[in-house]
Amino acid sequence: MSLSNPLNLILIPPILYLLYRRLVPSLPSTPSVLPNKYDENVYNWMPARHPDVLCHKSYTPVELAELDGRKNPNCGICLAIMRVGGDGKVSPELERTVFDVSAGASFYGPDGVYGNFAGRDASRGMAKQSFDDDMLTPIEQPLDALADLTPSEIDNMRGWHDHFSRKYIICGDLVNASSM
Amino acid sequence: MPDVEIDNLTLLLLLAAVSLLLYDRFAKPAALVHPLLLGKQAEVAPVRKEGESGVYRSFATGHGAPLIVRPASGLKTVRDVIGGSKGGDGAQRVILDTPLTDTALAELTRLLPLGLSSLFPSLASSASPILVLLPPNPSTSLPLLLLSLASSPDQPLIVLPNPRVLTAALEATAHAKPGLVVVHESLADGVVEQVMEESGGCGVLVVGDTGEKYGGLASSAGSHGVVVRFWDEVWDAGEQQTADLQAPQPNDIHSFFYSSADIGAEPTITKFTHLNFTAGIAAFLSSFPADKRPSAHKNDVVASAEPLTTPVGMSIALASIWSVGAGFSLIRPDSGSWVKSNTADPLDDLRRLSAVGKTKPSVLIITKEDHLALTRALHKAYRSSSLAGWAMNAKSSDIQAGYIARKGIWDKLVWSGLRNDALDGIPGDSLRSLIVIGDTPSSSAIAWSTALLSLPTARLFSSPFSAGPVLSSHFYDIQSSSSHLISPPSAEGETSHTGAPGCNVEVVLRGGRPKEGTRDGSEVAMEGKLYARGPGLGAVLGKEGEGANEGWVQVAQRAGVRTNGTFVILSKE
Repeated sequence: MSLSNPLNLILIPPILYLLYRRLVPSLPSTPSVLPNKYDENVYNWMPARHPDVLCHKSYTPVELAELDGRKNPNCGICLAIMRVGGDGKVSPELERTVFDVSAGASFYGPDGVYGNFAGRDASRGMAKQSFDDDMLTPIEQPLDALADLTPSEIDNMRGWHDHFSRKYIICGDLVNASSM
Repeated sequence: MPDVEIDNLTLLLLLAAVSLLLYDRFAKPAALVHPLLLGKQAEVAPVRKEGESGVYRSFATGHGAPLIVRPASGLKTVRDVIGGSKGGDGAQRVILDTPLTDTALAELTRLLPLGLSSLFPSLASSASPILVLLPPNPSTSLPLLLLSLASSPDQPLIVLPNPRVLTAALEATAHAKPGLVVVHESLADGVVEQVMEESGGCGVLVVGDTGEKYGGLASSAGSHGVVVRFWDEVWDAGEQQTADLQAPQPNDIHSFFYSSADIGAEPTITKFTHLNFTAGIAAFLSSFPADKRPSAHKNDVVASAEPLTTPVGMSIALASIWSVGAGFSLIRPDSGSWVKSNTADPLDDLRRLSAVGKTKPSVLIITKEDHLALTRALHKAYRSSSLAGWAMNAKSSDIQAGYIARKGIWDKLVWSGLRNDALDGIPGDSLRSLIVIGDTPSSSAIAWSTALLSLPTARLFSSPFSAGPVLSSHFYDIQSSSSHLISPPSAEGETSHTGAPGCNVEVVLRGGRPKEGTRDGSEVAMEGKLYARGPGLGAVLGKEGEGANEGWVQVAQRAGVRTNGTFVILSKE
């Protein structure tokens, strides 16, 4: 074993260099604009966008009809169901909750089983457990007063409203155009 | 050509070279917190109202889960703070410069209301609050702390931040008229005179004097129907009383805190229940990771710059007593002054913590000004060290990888000695947590303190309307730019973020507009007035009435939220 061996002499500088790099790493630089995508090798980063947040608003039937997943596919799919008061009666103020059902696009999307409810007031259909087109009120007409519903149908509708409240996002109210 | 032979030394050197290469390539320090978690620190509600942002909660809490109201099931009221201590009955600790065991503390808390009832019979017969006007200094904060621990439903506290609001407190209709005023000896003359004019029948308890200086005052006040007694008399009077104390419930009123008002302006009164304070204690303790929380086992000493005349300062003191076996100190000058002098050196208060016989603090909770002064003092020592440049390269490299610790060869050679020699050893080996409370320091100051102390610098944003921190940065978040370490620490420049909402707080921004598009890390996604809601927030008593605005309380005039859910306070008032 001798340091006069050229091979041994050649190995010493890289070892010293690696020791130096280990003890005194080079000063890292941070880019002036932080990366906006996560990478496992990057610690300092910032997401590019703030999460999107829907704005709770009042919709008229015409405005709600735009959110059927067909006319504006990127704007989400919504439908409305009437709220039932604690007394089990239909509200005379016709209060309807608008739900964003985009997460259930397979059901309420253009090709879904319940696609005809998308962008519409689904209250009568939910109450009568029917998905026929005659359950829907034309959007030019005032909102369906639902005065002819029986107590069991109202209870049905309340159950669906509760189910949608747990499963989907509440993003607004459906009101008559005249009240806007 | 010389013979090239591979001998044993060659093999050893090859092995060393390969080992160093692999070590350099793969032995990177692991980040203290995964950077993916730092990319989403708050969770925003999916729907917002017009004119405001969505409601934000801490990502760890999430929407849908109830907000916690106490750190453990046994802590239902402020009085349970003593019972929950983990220091053990025999362990003595120093609380506000006074050696006390848990048994002694419990006994003092038991005797205090009995003694007050004995000295002031009218207090016992009527449900009236106790008004406390004591300077926020170490020697005068212990009476306030004991009164807080002993607060009963019939005698809640009224805590004043300064003498300017005394008249408003005596005349206020938002709460009952106080039956007793606890005042420091420096203000005894004026307060007794005012009590005689405003509220005949109200007693005065003087803290500081034993009757030698103000004994005459007691006599003359007595002739006007005002009972004046002295703090030291309370204990003997309490020994002679036996009565069952009324146990408070979580929703009973604990105290009314007055916020400082500008001269001529009405102060704001915030009502706090016992539940508000247990929630505040939970929020404060949640700002630490589980293994870093103040603990009796680690002999922690918590030193706080937040006075007990603020609700969050009181919560910090209560949290320390509940969970710490070593003690609690206040980082304030020990004088009768009400405000810190602008000309005083902020480091003097820190140095006082290492006086002879005192245990150095392990958890420092300091203001932005204290933090900058401490960082600059360490920076000065760093500049005079010959190996400092190399040591900083290594430290900065670790910080950019998300790792910081008081380990390694450079800590042994440079950093440990630098910290132990500075400021009488306050930032030395005993210190294990640093929190800046109140106004947020600059990113430059944060980056330097993280590197020089080799500790993360956590930030808490508090409000006079909340018993706990409203915003709390992730304890291990050390994201920063290496460019901050090029120039000396400065108060100027970009303000650091203050983290996400506290564990039991919801916040919302109102009145601003979201900014569209992508942005770099320094920009905010939305600005507006910052409102907060949660079990730690007290009820602000005002013209609108309690509970107005669905429980939302404005805590900052202008704040912004960044894309990762952290908030930046742009303007507090």
